[in-house]
Amino acid sequence: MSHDTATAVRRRPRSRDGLWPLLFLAPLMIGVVVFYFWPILATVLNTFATFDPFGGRSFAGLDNYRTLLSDAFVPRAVLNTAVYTAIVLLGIPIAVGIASLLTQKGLRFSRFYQVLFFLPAVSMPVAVALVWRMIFNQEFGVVNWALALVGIEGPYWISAPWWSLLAVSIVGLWSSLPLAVIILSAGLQGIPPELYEAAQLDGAGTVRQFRSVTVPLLTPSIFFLSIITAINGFQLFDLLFAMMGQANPAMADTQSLVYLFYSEAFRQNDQGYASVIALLILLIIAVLTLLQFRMQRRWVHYE
Amino acid sequence: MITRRSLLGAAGLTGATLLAGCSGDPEIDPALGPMATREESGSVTFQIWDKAQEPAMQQIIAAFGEHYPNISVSMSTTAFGSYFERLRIQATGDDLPDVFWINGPNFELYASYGMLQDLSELEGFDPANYPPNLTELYSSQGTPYAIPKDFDTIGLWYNRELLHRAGVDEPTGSWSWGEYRDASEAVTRALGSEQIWGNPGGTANQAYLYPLIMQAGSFVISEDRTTSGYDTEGAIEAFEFLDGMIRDGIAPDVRYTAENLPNELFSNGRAALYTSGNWSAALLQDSPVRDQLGVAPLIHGREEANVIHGIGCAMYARSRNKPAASAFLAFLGSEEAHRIQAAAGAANPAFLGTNDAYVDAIPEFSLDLFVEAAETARTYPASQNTTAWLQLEELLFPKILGGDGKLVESARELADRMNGVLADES
Repeated sequence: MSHDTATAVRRRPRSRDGLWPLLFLAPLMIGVVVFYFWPILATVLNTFATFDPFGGRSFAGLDNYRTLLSDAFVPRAVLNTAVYTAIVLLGIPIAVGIASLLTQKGLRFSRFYQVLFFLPAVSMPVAVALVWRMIFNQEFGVVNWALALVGIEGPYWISAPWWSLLAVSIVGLWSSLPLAVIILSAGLQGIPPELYEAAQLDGAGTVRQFRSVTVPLLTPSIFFLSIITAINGFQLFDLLFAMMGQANPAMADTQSLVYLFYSEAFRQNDQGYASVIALLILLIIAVLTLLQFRMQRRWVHYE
Repeated sequence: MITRRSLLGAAGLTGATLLAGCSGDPEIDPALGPMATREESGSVTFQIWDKAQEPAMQQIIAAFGEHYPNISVSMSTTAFGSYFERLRIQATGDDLPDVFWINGPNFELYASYGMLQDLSELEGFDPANYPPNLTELYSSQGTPYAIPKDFDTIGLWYNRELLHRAGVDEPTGSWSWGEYRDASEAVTRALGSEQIWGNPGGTANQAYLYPLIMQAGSFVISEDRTTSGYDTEGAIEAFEFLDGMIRDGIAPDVRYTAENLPNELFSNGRAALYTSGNWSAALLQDSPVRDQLGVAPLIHGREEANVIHGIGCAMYARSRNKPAASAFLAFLGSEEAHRIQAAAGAANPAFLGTNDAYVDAIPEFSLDLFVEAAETARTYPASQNTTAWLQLEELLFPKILGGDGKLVESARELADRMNGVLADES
C-alpha cells in the first residue's frame, strides 16, 4: 500500500459528507453482513441447538460438542482432510516448474501448452471424477495396466482405504494445477528482466537464476496459492463424493470433514451436530491461515 | 454439483426457518372437509420424482380431467437425488405441494410431524384395496396417511445362457441358500476365466441383505422400532453367508463391486444370478443380453421372506386446496388410475387385481411372480428417521463384508450407531 492511500484512509470523514459514504458502502456491507457474518453467527448459535426436521429448534447446551468428542468418524476425517490438503499442496512446487517452463522465451507452441494445462479448470468436476474412476479401475484401468507392465499388481485405488485417499488426492492435485500455473505465470511475467541480466553478469547459471531470482520473487504468488490451496483442501467434498461412488467399503475410512458435515446435515437430519462440524472446519482453516500469515515473514519476499 | 445444491439447500433451510419464524404458526385444520363436486373448479399441485413415469402420470391427469373438468392439475418433477432435500425445504417453509409422492424411508418423518393429511375420511379410499403390508407401510399408528401407488418385491433374475454353459439347470421354483451358492460356485468355476461371476455380489439392502436377514429368522428393525437387528444371530448368519461366498472366490468382493456395480455386471452378461426387484425389468429390457434373461422366485433360507416396498401418494395437511386435492388424490388411488399406469408399463400397480395390465406390458419376463410374492412379503423396514440409518448401512455394509476379519465387530458398530439414531427419535 502506498503512502498516499494510507493517509487517505486515515482521514476522518468530514461531517458534511453526511450519510453519503455509508449509502455508497451499503450494497457491499449489506451483502457481507447478510451472506457472511450472519450465517457464521447463525452456525455458532446452531451448535447449541437440536433441530426438529422441519425447522423447530430447542436449546441443547453442549450436547453437540459432546457428540463431536465421542464420534469415531471425526478424528479420521480430520486426518483424511489433512493428508489430502498436504498432498494437494505438493502441486505448488510442481506448478512453479510448469509455469517457468511455459513462460520461457522462444518456447514453441506455448499457447497450445497453456491451453492444455488450463483444460482441467474448465472441465466439469463430476465428469472429471468419473473419468478418473475409470483410469483407476483395478481391473481395466490405465494405471494398473501400466503397473502390470513393470510387474506390479496394482491396488484397488478407489475402494481400498488409504489408496482411495491417495487416488482422490492425486486427482485433487491435478485439478488444482491450472489455477496455480496461471497465477504463477502472471507472477513470473512481473519479474523485471534486468534482474536476470544482472544475475547473468554476476555469473549465475540457469539453475542459480531460478533459485536466487525466480523463486524468491515468486514467493508472494506462492504464498497466495498456499493459502487458497489449503482452504480449498479443507473443503474437499464433491470430488470425493463423485469418485468414491456408492457401496464403497473404503468410504467409512476416507470421509472428509465436509463429507461428514453433509452426512449429518442432509442424511442424518442432525443440523445441530452438523453446525459443530462446520464450526470445526472454520476454526481449522482460520488457525491454518493465521499460521501461514505468521510464517510468511520468514520466507515471503516483497519487492 | 452437490456442494452447490447442498449449500443452496442449507441457505434455503435457514431462510425458510426465518420466514416460518416470522409468520407464526397458523392453526392446522386437521379435518379433511368435503370433496369437490364434479362441477366445482379448483387447482392442485402435484409433485413426483420419476421422469420416466411422467407420460403415465399425464395420462392419469387427463383421465381425471374427464371426471372433474374444472379442476386443473399442475405436475412438477424433481430428480430423485434431490427430491427429499427439496421436500424438506418445502415442508419447512409451509410450501408443500397439495399432492405428492412419498416413499417408505421418509413416510414416518412427515406423518409424525403432522405434514400429511389423515386420509381415513377420504371418500372413495378403502385401504382394503391394496396389499395389507403396503397399507401398513403407509399408516402411522393405525391411521392411513398415504395411498399406495405401486409396489416392488424381490426375485431371482438369471442368465439362462451362462447357467447352461456351466451345466446348471435354470431355477424353476425358489432355491435354498445352498442351491444358490452351489449354482453360483459352478458358474464362477466354469466361466471365471472369462471374468464371469456366478452372482455379482454387492451390498444392496432392500434387494439382497434385508430378505436374507429376514430369511435367517431375524429383523432389520424391531417391531416397536427401538432396536436394530444388525447384531442379532440371524443378521450375522446372513452376513457370513455372503462373506463366505466372497472368501471362497464365488462372488466378487466389495472392493470389486464398488468399481463394477452388480446391476451392470448382470446386465452385461458378466454374472449369472442376480437378486433384484421388478424395477429391474425396465432396465433389463434394454440389456444387450436380454434374450438370455429370465426370472424366478427369490431364494429362501430357514424361513421364506421377501420385502415389499412401493411409492405412496400423500396430501399436505395444510393444503389450501383440500376439496380439489381430495378429488385428485382419491382418483390417484382408484382402480382406473392404477390400470392406466399399469398399461403404460410405468410401475406395478398397488390396487389389487390390476396387475395383469403391468405383467402384460412387459411380456419378456414372467413378472407375475413379483405380484404373487407380495402376499407373503414383509413390510419394508422403516422408522421415523430412516434416512439416517440408511446412510449408516451404506457406509458400514461394505465394511462388514470387507473381508478384514472384523465382520461381527463392524455389524455391532452398525447396530450401535443405528440404535443411537433410533433412541433420538421422538
